[in-house]
Amino acid sequence: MGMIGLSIEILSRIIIVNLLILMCLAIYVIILHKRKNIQIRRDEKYLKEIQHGWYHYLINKGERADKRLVPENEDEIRVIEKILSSYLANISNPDIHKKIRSFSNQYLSHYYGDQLKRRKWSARMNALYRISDFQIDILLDDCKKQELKKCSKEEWLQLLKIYSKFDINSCIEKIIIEPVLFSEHEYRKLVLNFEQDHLERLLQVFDEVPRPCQFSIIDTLGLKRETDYVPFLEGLLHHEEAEIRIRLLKAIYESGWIINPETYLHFVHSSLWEERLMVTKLLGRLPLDETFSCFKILLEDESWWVRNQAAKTVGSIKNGKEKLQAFIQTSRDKFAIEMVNEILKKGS
Amino acid sequence: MSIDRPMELLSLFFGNVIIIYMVVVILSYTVMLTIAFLHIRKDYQLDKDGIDEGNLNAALMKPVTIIVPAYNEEAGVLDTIHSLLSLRFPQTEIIIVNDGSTDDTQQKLISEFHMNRVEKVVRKEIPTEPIRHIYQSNVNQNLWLIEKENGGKADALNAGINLARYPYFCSIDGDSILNEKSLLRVMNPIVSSNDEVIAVGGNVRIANGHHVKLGSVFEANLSKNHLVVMQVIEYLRAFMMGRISLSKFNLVLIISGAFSVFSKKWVVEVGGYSKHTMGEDMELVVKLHRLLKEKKLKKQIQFVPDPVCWTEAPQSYAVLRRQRRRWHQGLVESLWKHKKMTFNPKYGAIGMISFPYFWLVECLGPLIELGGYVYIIIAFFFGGMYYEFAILLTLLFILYGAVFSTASVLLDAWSKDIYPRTSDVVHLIFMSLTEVFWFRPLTLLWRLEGFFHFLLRRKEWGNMQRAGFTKKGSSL
Repeated sequence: MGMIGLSIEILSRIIIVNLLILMCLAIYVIILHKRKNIQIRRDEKYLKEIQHGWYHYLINKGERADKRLVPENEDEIRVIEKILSSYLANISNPDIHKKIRSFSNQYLSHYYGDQLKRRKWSARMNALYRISDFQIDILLDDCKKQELKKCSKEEWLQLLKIYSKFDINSCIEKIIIEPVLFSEHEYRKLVLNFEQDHLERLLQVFDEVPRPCQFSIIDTLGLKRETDYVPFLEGLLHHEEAEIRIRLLKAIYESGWIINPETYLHFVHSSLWEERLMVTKLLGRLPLDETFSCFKILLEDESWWVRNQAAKTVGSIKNGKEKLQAFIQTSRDKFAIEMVNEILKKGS
Repeated sequence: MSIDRPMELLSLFFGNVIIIYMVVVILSYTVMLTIAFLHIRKDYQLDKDGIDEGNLNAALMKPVTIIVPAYNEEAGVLDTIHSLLSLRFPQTEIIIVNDGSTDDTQQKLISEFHMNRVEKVVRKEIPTEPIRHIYQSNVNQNLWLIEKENGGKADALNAGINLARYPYFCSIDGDSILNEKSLLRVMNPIVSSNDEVIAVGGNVRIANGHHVKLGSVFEANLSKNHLVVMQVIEYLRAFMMGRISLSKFNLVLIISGAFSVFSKKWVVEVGGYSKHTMGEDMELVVKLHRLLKEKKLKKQIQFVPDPVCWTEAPQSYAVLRRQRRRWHQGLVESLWKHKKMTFNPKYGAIGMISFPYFWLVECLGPLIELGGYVYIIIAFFFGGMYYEFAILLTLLFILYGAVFSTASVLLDAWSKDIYPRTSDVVHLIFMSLTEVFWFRPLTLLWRLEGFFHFLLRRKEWGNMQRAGFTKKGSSL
């Protein structure tokens, strides 16, 4: 009984304290909300005032930034961020990018430098985004100082992105050292935005970078669809890691170019069906007269996927259907004949 | 006296059970609220556009099939499809599944999107009711309509999965609306984890009272209907007090069917959505967890607080009652069906933490809590020692109901600005204080009803009257 009385007393106190705290918080949140609404209206007003000035400066070849465009406080910087970001996202013009870069270096770098020093993670992240978007290279050293602090994975990725723009040596060096473990997706985000000569630098150290980064490099090269990279990809085809070889075949297929056909022929006899599947797709890019002997083997492959792909590929090449007809007459493989028949039927 | 003594002991025992239960729940809610707060604080004022812009690149994102099951959704389905067509995402296809509607759903879709019948072979990876016809839009080649015989929501989703071409699919209710970046953000955990995450649920919010036009929320206003306001609070609470923290430790058992993304491969492997359960969304998540544990795979199922899906909440007591009854029945069915996972170390944290937690708090909670309400009323009449017990219980209820609800509302108002009007925020805070006195006992009753329906194995679909999204106010 006494226990209960005591509990009631303690509990009542807890509840009263809790409710009081909540009431204070509620007042705080409501004030915050009101202030934000006022701020939104102020921002809108400022935006209206300066948007024409920005248009004139960026689009109409205004030579120097008007004094009115220079922000005087944090609120104005926030509005300018919005304006610049939308120009960057919607208009791709080197002149505009150059103007934004020089303006940001001159007038915004101080603010972002301070933001980088803040304890709040989201403030630092936002600053890193802007430094990279607006190309504020003046802050490169400040960024490097960030490394010494306890950096989160997200910050590291953003730092590498910044290095890839302003200091490629540091970027590649860091990728090799691997300060944190990035996923393939994260490396891909990084590598996709590499300029051509930077990408070539990265290829020189291909063996030294972490595996996920190697995957992302191969995929990126495939997406570029240029002949220049095919010799590099073909040169790696004897790599000991199966996943690398499969990715290479896929990237070469996607690039659309084959330079040394004989490099691929041994994959027809690979022990991995994925490799045989990819080489089946690739062979479709070569004249059928040269490749049909390989296709005969692939049509009789033990894997359903490979047989199916082989029949599809041959069926889609000029004169392929006739070759398939002829194949049915000579083959003794029941499964192969079944597959070819299915493809021939679908085509008609 | 000899009869009174055992009665007294019995009531003491019940009182203690209820109190211990409340203390356990309050403690675990406190932990979860703290985790949610830390999580939200980290992202506070972070500009997410940077991540979004990166993910808009097709080379970085995976294509997604969006499946919209529709049964008599003529009121809202056009808004839903318009919102899906205006999503910012590199590559999607939209499959609407007309599950044998008896209203104008199909006709509206066909004329709005210029749909034509096409011949298409569908690979039946999951068995479904027969498909009658397939239509393709002339306006957008990636917009499809399946007309099939009625088989329920799970069956309709399965039919959509069979037609889907892409490795991931997103299920959306036929009356929901997405923000233009919702899909992008819900896919982020999947792509950035390199497919380690196989399912992600988004945050569902209530749109009653909002001004919606051509599938976009133009203005967020809080509904004037008290029942709707209470549901807004309830959703917030469930989300702050459960999903964020459970997701952090891969313990989520429910991700909302109104908006979630799944890896098609895994869903097909567990046989798709289950037709014979009330809560097909929970059932699927539990089946996936079970498969992952049985195959000893380190894949994850996550909940992402940020991507928002707007949905229409019931506005009348009768409809809400049916919905809650159905939800609870579905929950108990899934727990019962997979009961062997409970306290089974083979299923890791899911078996040792999630299942016991769901059994105790989600399934039996209503019974115990209602017992608490009844206890308080009776005890006040008996007086004496019971009286003090009753006060103690009442205080615990207030702590449990009002304090946590208000905290959730505040946390949300602080971190996100959903409602532009300050008066809406004040209204929400005030209403959250009243929850424990009327809305909570009502929902508990309805859930208990669902529990009895489970025991009696009753099957029924509470159909919801849809008002459709319209201009502010007119949907009330």
